[in-house]
Amino acid sequence: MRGLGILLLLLPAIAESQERSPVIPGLEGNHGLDSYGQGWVLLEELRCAACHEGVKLMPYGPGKLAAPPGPDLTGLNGRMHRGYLTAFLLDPHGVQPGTRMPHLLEGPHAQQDASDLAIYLELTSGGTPGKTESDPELAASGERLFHEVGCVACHDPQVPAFDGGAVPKLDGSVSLAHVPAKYPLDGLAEFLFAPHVARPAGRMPDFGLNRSEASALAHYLLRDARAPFSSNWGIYPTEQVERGRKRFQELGCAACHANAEHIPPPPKRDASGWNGKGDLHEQGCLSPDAKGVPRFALSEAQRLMIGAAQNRSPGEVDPTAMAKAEVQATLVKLNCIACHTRDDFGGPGAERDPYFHTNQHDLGDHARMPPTMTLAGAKLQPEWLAQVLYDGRSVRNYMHTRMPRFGEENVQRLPTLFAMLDEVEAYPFKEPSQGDEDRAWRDGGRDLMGTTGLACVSCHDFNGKPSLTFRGVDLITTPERIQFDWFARFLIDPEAYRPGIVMPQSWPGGVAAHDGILEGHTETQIQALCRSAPDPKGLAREHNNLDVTDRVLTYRGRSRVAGFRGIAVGYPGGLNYAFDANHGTLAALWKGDFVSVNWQGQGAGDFNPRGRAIQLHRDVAFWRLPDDETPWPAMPVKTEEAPVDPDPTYGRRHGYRFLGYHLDGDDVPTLRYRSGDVLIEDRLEDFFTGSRESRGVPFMRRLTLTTESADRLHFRLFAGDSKRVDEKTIEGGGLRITLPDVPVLERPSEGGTEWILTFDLEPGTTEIVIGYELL
Amino acid sequence: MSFSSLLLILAATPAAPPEDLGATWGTLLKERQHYKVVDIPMPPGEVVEAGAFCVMPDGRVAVGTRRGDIFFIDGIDDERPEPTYHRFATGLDEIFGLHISGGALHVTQSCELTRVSDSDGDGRADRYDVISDAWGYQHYHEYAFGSDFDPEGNQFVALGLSASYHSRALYRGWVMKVTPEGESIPWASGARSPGGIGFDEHGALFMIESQGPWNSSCSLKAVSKGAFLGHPISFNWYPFADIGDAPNVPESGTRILTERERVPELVPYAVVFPYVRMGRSITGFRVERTGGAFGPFAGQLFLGDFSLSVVMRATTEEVNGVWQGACYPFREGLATGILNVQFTPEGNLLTGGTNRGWPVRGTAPFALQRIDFTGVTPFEIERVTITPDGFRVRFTQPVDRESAGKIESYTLGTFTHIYHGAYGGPEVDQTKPEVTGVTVSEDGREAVISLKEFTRGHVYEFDLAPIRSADGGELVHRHAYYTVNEIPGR
Repeated sequence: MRGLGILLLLLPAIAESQERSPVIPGLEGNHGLDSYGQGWVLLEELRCAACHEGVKLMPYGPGKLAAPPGPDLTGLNGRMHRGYLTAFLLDPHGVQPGTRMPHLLEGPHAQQDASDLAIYLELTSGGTPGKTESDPELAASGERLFHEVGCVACHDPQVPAFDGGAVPKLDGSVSLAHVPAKYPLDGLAEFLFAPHVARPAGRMPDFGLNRSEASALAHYLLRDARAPFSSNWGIYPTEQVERGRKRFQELGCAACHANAEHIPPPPKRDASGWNGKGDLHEQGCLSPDAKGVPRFALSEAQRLMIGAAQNRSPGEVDPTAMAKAEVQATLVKLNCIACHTRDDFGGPGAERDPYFHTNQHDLGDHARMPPTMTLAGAKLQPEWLAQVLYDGRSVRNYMHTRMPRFGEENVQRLPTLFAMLDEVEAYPFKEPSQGDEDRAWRDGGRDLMGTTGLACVSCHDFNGKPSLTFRGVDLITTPERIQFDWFARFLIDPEAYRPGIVMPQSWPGGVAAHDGILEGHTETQIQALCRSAPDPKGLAREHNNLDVTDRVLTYRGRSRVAGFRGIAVGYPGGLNYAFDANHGTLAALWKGDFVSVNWQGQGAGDFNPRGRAIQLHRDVAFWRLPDDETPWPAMPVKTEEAPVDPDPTYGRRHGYRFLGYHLDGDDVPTLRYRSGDVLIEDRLEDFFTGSRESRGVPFMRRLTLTTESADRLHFRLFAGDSKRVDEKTIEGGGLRITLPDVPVLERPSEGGTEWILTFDLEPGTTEIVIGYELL
Repeated sequence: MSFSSLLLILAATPAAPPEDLGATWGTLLKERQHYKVVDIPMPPGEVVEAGAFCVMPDGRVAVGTRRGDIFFIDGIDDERPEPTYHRFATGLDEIFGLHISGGALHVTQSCELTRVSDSDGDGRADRYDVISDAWGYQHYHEYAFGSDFDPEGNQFVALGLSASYHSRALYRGWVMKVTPEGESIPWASGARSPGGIGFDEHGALFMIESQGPWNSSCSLKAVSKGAFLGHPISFNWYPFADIGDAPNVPESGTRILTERERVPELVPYAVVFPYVRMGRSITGFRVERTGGAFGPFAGQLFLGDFSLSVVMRATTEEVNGVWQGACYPFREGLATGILNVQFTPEGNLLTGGTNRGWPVRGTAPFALQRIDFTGVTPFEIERVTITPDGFRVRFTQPVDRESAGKIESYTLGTFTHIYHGAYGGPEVDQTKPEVTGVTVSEDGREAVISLKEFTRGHVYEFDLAPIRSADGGELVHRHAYYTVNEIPGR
C-alpha cells in the first residue's frame, strides 16, 4: 500500500536492518545472569504472562509472574503517524528492529487488517498529530542532551564521544532508526517529557526533562525526518473502524495494551502444561516456524533460555538468594546496569564509558560515573533511597548523566530488598553527652573538615559554599542521605567501598592520621564527622560585595556608619553616600567601591563601605533652633549598661518623619522626609560618570524644601573639627563643603565647630544646593 | 543505638548551639503519594532566600527575599518548572511581608512597611514610600512580619524582641496596626519572636510565635486590640501607646490557665505546637482557599517550619470568646528551612526559605519548592473540633466503621507547659483522658468521642493509629494536637 511504500523509502535503515530479534538492553550488558536467569528476564520482558496463565515465576517469592504493561494506546494519534503504524503492524520486526511487539498479522488479509487496525486506533485513541519540521538550533541543543543525560545508556550514540573518535555501533542498543517516521514533533516531545504515560512499564525511563529539553531532544531525534509524513487523514470509514475494533479484540491486543475504549484483556491460556517439555523452545510462540501465534522473532538463544527457564525447577531457594536474584533481575530488566555496578555485575561497557561526563574531571571517574549500587541499602537512608528511585533525586550536580525515574511501581520493591541484603558492620557510636563533649565533637568535626584538618572541603562543597578546588558532593546533604554505619566504614577505608575513589585514607589501619584534633582518637573523630558542624576553614568566601555598574545603586540595611535604618547609595562615578533614615541625616560619604554586605549568620544585610568613609554626625539634621545658644539635640545613645533606647521618639519629637524615596531614570534616589510641615526632597548628584576616578569631584546635594506657609528651619550642615576656608567654603573631616547663600551660624561644639544654616522659607518651594567634595 | 539520634543537622553558624533537631515524622514516603514536592529552579548564581510571597494580578508570583530583592516569577506552576525571574525591586532590608494593594506592593521589611511601586510602567520599582516606620529597630534580630489586609485595608506588623530576649527599642514585642492612611496604632504586646502574622479562615488575626521565654513551644496566638500575648518584657512601651496601662506582670513558673485569672489581658495560646513533634521554629502561613485544588483541607492554615523543613496544618475555632484549635503534621522532607508559604494561582503550595543562621534540616542552603496535590486524597485527620463532651474528629475519607467505632482506637494524652520566663520548657501535668464513648457519623467521615472529663489549659494529643479508612488504608499521620483553652457549654 502507498503508506508502507513511502515509509520504506524513507527508512532505508529500517528496511536493511538485520537485527530483528527482541532487544532487552540489560541482557546485552554485564548482567551476571546465568541462562536460566536470562530466560526468566525474557519471560517477563516479552510479557508471556500477559497471555498465559501459569508462566513460571522467577525464583524470587511466591506469586505470579508479572507482565509489564505494554504501551498505552490512549493518545496514540498524537504520537504516531498512521502510515507508520500500518507498516509496523504488518512487519513489527522489520520496521522497528528489536521491538518486543510480536508479529500478529499474516495471510492475505494482513494488509487490510493493518489498515483497519490503524484507522480504528487513530479514531479511538485520541491525540492530535503535530508538525514534524525540526529546528536545527533546537536539534543542536538536543544532541548535547542526548549524549549527556543518559539516552546513550540504551541507545546508540550518534556522534563520537570525543574529537576524532568513532561513533560506536553497539550490540543491544534499542534502535531509534524508526523514530523519524513514527513520531510527529509534538508527540515525541510529549513522550520524552512524560514517557510513562505512554509506556508505564518504565523501560523507557523518565529523565525529568523539562518542556524545553524534551522539545530540543525531539527536534534532534527528528532532525532527519522528511516532513510532512502524516497520513492521519481524519477520514474514518465506519466499516473499517468496525473491522479494526473486531481485529483488536480477536488478536488480544488488550492483553498488553491499555486502550481508549477500555477493551478488556482476553482470557489467558494455561501454560502449566509447558512444564517438563524438553522441547518447549520448539513449541507455540517459541517455535521458529510458528504459525497462527504471535511471533516474537526470537533468536535461537532466546528460545532456548526461555524454554529452559520455564522448565527448571527452582527447588528450595533461601530468602536471601531469592532477594538477590530479584534485585539482579530488576536491575537487568530496567537496565540500571547500563550505568551502575552492583557487586560483580553491571556497569557500562568500554564503548559507552566515554559518554559519561562531568564538569569536575579532577574528582576522577567517580565524578562522571553513577555510583555503585553495591551496599546501596546500607549506605543510603531508606527515605533518600526511595526518593532517588522514585523521584530521581540527586546531589551530584557535577555529573551530567541524570538519575532517571523508572516508575514507582516498577522499582518499589528495591528499597526493601536493598535493605534486606545490604549491611555493614555496626560502628561503635555512642550518644554524645550534653555539654563539653558535645561541643568538642562539633568543633572537632568542623576542624577535621577544614583545611587545617583532613581538608574535606578541598574537594567538597559545604552548605552551598564552593570548595576552593574540586566541587564534590555538598557535605550538608550527608545526614539526609547517608547511614552512618556505612559512612563510618567508608571514611576509614574509602577504597573498599568506592574502588578507585580519589578520597584519601585518613585513618589507615584504623589509626587517625591527624592526631591534633580530638586527641587523634579514631572513633571520636569519626563520630564528630557524623554530626552537625559549622562552616569549616578553607571554603571559598562568598562574594559579598555590591558593585555599582552603569546605574546608581540604592541599598537599605543597618550599618555602623548610618545606623539601623541606613540607606547606602553608590554612583557609577565612584562616589557613595549613606543616609540615616532614622534621623534624616547624611551620615557618611566615601569614594571608590560601594559596599560589602554581610550575608552570614542570623542577621542579614548589614553593609560596610568599601572605601574609607567620612563619618558625619547622625543627629537629626533639620530642626527649629530656638536660639543661638540652645545646643543641637543629640541622638540617644545606648550603652552596654543601659541598653534600652532612652529616647525612642527622638526623631519624631524633633519633627522628623521619613517618607521614602523615588528613583529617576538613572536610578538616582530622591530621599523624601519631613521636618514639621516642611517637605524635604534630598538628592545627591554626581556629575562625574563613566570613570572610577572621582578625586576632586563634588557631590552636589540638592535640597528642595516645600512648605505651605512661611517657616524657618535650621539645618546642621557639619559638626566637628572644621574651619572656614572662605566665605562660601568650609573644610573638615576630609570634606570641603560649599555653602549655599543663606545665614550661617558658626559656633563651638564638642570636638570643634558646628555650622548651622538657617532656611527662611516662603510658601512654596525653595531649593538649596550644597557641594560636598571629598578631599 | 539508634543512629537517627545522630542525624544532627549541619548548622551554618558557629554561634548556633549544638543540638539534635529530633526525629522526623517518618511519614515522608506516605506523604509523597498524595503531595509531591517539585523543585523550582533558580537563575544560576542568584541567591533567592524567600521570606514572603504574593500572587500578582497577572498570575506571576512575587517573592521577597532576605537579601532585599523582589522577583516576579513566571511559570511557577508548570509541571516541570522553567520559571523566569524578573527583578522588580532591590535593595530592601529582609522582607517578611508582601501584599498587593492598588497596584503597589506593601512590603514589610525590617525597617518599615513600604509601598513599592512602578510609576513609569517600565517593570521596575521606582517609588518606595513609607507607610509606617513607627517602631524601633536597633538589633539584627528585630525582624518585622506583615499581615495581609483586613476588610478595612489595615495591615498588622508583628515585631520581634531585641536579641530575642529584650525589648530595647520602641514596640519590640508588639503588634502594630497600620491603617490605609498610614496611622500606626500599637495593638497588642507580649510577642516574643514572631514568624508570621495573618488571618485564619474566619478572618481572625493570628500570629505564629516561637519557642523561648514564656513560650515553652511554638504556638499560634490570637491577636486582638489590647491583647497581651504572653511575654511581659515589652510592657515598657505602654506609656508610649494609647492603649491603657500595662497588664499585671505574670508570675513565672505558673500555668497560663491560672495566670489568665490574674492577667485578664493575657490571651491563651490558641494552638500549641508540641515542641519538636510539631516544629521547632514555625514561620509564615496561609489559608487554603484553592477550591479543592490542594486536596481536602479547605480553609485550613498551612504553616512552614524553619528548623525541621516541614509544613504543618492548623485549624481554629472560637469557644466562649477564646480562640483555640488543633495542629496536624502535613509534609516533611523539604530541602531547606521554610520561612514562608503561598498558594499559587493553580492551587499548589509554594514554600521557600533558607538555612542561614540556625541548625536546619535539609539538603540546600536555600530553595523554592512547590507542594502539589497528586489527586490521590490522603486518609488523614481532617480536623478536630471540640464539643461539650469531647471532640469531633473529621476524616478526609469515610472510615472503617469497626476500627473507628472502638473506644480503644482513640489514644489520648494531655499535657500543659510551665508558663515561665525561662527558655522553653517541658511538657507537664500529663493526663490520660478516658474516652467513654464514640459515635461514627452515618457518612463515616466523622467520629464524635466523649470524654469522662476535660482538663482546661491542656493540649490534647490524639493518636488514632488503629483507625482505618473504609477501604482499609492507614492514616498518613496518626496524630493531632488540640489546645483546650475553653470548653463549650451545652
